[in-house]
Amino acid sequence: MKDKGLIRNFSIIAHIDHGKSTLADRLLERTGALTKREMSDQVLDAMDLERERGITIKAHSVRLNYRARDGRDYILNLIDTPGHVDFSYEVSRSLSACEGALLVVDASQGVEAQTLANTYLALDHHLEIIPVINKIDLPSADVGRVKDQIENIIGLDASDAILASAKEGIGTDEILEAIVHRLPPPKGEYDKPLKSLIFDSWFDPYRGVIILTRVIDGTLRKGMKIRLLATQQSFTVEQIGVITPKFTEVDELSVGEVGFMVGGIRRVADSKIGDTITEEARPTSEPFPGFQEIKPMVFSGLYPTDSAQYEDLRDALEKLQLNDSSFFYEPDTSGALGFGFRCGFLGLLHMEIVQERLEREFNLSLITTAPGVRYRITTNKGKAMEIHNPSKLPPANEIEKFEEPLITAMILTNDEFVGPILKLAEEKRGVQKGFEYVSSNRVLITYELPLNEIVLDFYDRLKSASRGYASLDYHFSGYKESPLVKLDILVAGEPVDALSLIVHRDNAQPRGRALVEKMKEMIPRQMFEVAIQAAMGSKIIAREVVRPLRKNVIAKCYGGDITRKRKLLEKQKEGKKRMKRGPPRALPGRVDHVGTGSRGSQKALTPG
Amino acid sequence: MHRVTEHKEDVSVVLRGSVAKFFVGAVIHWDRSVREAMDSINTPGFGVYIHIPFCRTKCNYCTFVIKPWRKDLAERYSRAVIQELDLFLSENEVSGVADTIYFGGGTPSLVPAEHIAALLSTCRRHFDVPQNCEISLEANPGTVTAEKAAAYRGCGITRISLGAQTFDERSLQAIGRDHTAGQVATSLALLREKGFENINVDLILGLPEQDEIQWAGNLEMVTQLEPPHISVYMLELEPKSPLYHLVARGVHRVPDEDAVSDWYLGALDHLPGHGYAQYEISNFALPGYECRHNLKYWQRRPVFGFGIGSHSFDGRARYANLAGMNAYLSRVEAGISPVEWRRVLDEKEELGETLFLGLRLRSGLNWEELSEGFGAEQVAEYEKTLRSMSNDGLVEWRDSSIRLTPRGMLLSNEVFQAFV
Repeated sequence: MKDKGLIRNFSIIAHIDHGKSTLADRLLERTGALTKREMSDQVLDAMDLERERGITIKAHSVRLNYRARDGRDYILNLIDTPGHVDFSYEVSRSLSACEGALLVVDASQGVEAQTLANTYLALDHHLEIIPVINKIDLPSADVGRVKDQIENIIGLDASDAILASAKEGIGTDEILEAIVHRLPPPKGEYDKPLKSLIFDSWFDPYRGVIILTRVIDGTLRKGMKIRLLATQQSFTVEQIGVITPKFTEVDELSVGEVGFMVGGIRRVADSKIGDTITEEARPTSEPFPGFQEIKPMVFSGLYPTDSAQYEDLRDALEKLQLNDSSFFYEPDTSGALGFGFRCGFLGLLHMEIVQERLEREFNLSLITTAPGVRYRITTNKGKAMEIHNPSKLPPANEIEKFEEPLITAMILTNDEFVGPILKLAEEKRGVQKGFEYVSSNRVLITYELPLNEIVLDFYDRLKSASRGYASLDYHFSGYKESPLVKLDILVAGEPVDALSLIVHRDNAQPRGRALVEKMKEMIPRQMFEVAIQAAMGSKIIAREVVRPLRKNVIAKCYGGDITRKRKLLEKQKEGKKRMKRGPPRALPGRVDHVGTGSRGSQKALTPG
Repeated sequence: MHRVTEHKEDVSVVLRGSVAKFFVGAVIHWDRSVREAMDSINTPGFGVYIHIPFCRTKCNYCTFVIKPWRKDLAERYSRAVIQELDLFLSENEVSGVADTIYFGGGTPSLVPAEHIAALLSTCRRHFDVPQNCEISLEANPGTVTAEKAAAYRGCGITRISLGAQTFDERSLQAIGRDHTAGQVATSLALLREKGFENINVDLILGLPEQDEIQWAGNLEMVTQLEPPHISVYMLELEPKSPLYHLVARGVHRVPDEDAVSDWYLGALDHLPGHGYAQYEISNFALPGYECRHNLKYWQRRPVFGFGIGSHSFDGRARYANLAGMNAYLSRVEAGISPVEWRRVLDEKEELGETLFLGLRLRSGLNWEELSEGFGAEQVAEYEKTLRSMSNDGLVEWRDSSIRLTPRGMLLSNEVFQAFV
């Protein structure tokens, strides 16, 4: 049993590129958890995608043994948090496993919206916060300004902020000492029934589900019969241990300790993040507070480009879900795109990550439809339902009440960009909730916005409105009744189900017009004129025409190379067959949403 | 009512003992001038194609295998082609007459005229080359000198094809041609002075910087020069070509599909007014000046190709030579055939080719004869398709004859896709 007085649990809050991973590396190195030789840079970002995007998607934890200047040996558990708004529930669970946090702010960049959101989240969980001003070695570092921002924006005392350069190893010792002396030890009690928080879990093909847990009260022992409170399922603890970052088995984990557990759990869905582990024989009376069922917020259709890949896509989704119970999928059929799946994600980044993994790790070629959100509908017969697929919407005349999800968005920017950003937020049907100068030229703008406006092109637009100098964070803030309508796109008189959208009535016409114009560019000219229409019910609100093909001719004889001509004709014919099977990849999927350019911009705007 | 004349012949080409009998698509004539011309050119001969791959500069729309001009390489190459001709004749027995010979490129006019003469005399040594054989040579306006013209005349060249492409300097520069607009007229005059009368001028529609006025000027210019044959090709912007990327990057602008289509239709109206009858999608000629060699391709007559990357059709099979210079030279110099692949066509492919090649001709196809040659069952499916295309205005039927409409010519690939 470890003395809880010698345990400190903490996480690191930082904006993307402000140096979280580098600082974590320094702490590991300094405490001897890893030798320099063992370090691959940025140990905590394990998945390729994470390293590529420079963000942390899944939480990890690592146990550091540190002999402090007072001569005592402490156990420091660094619990990493995912850094993106899509995963804010997971962030909240990781934070609630800690007593304190390092708030890392880049000395030249200052406080960003992401930092702000996660710091507020940490304060909500009553965490003790140690400000760390990083990258002080940069010529553009402005420590005084950053201290002011920390005080003015976040309201934290920055007078004893630690000045550091994780890259240069400056301040590492001060940070370790501050963790020991400024953060409180865990509070729980040893003799109470076991209460342990699950803050992460993943599937390992050899051992089944691996849970990361933080013991609140009591002791978790190898061989113990346990019960998970939310799912009410029982398991036997087969292995427990700590991550140093090597997986090292131990016999028990007690108050305040953090470690992993394996217990014959076959599905990640059975070990829900935020759930409480207790002893079957002597259960705790109260679960750890804050557990929520994770609900997808953003939805999109995924279809294989080649219909023969449908089975492969299904298998791939099944495999991905083993490791990520937060995304959901169900079979869906589209007249235009054939057989596919309707999928739900935590947010846009989560959606892109899943899509990218499907394409990259499973070699699938996908058509993705424009992302949408979950609406609440009450029919005039009084029936309430949730709809996330525009094609499942009841006819307009049967809808009594149409509600859409809202978010509260915090945008931090320089005052010179305020004009265009306000204009954008108004255009996106935003309601201003706050406007605050946080320093002489930094402005914090708070807006309530419909989520369906965010999922369309908000990131890209915000990025261009602010020339990249704005950061955004948001959280879900409820449902609101809105005059929403279904916008259908008809090609040659036929509605293309995969292109249907739910939009605000006032936006229907401009959106419809933009959509048909874009479609016009994307549909190759055919032998006949093709009309593209946007319709609201039976009312056509926009129309474009793809003029008929005029010319497709091989002019020259090319030294009698008839084989070449035949091949060209065969290729054209094959291309046409493919068109008939489904519109080309570019056509339905990425129309009118974040588009290909969004990946970079999301990273820049809502980083971790 | 247009008279339908029949030409159905058996041409025998004996390839080392095996006799290939094949059907030659019959020809129907709408226009008197074309009909008369056809009568005189439908002789049962085969063609010879000789590829000269050298160019002084590479035009930026071109994706073909060309070699930068080098004297020593050209000499070695010409010797190799002569060896290939020798080799071919030692391995194959060819009966019939070689009534067309075509030097294509590349830029055949770039190599010394003696090379051409040597190649021609090799042909004459091996093949039965009649007095009235059409012997064409492709020339770039900038490369024709008085000496060369005289030498060509002397060795028996009867027809010159001038790659003028356009009379507009800006367009010429944009596509990287190495001649000026003025050189076209000069070359033409020079060739005429040396006794050439059968001359073709190539024009390309849809070049960068071309507009309606400039194109009209091109047509005006070419009809003033009065070559007996005019080819009007439409620029194909191939993704592999440098020009494609220049256009994509906005360095050059090419006229759009609709403009090019309109100008093409305009040319179909304009050229006959000056006596040029259209006999193929891209080819126009004064009566009797149709290119007999190129007609062989559309009519599926045998043409034997020599030189790198050249293509051949022996009446049953299509085959092609290696396209790489080094591979070609080393094979030929070692006395090994440079043929890279050979493919015997099955009946369905023969029918498909007969359709998509024959329909390029203004004279079109005779369905009864086609049905006789290939069997009613075989052609029935295509007839149905073509009848429905006639409703769409792509083809026109007259009794049992069929040909493309002007709209159908512009959309010929759409029609021909039905046959592959």
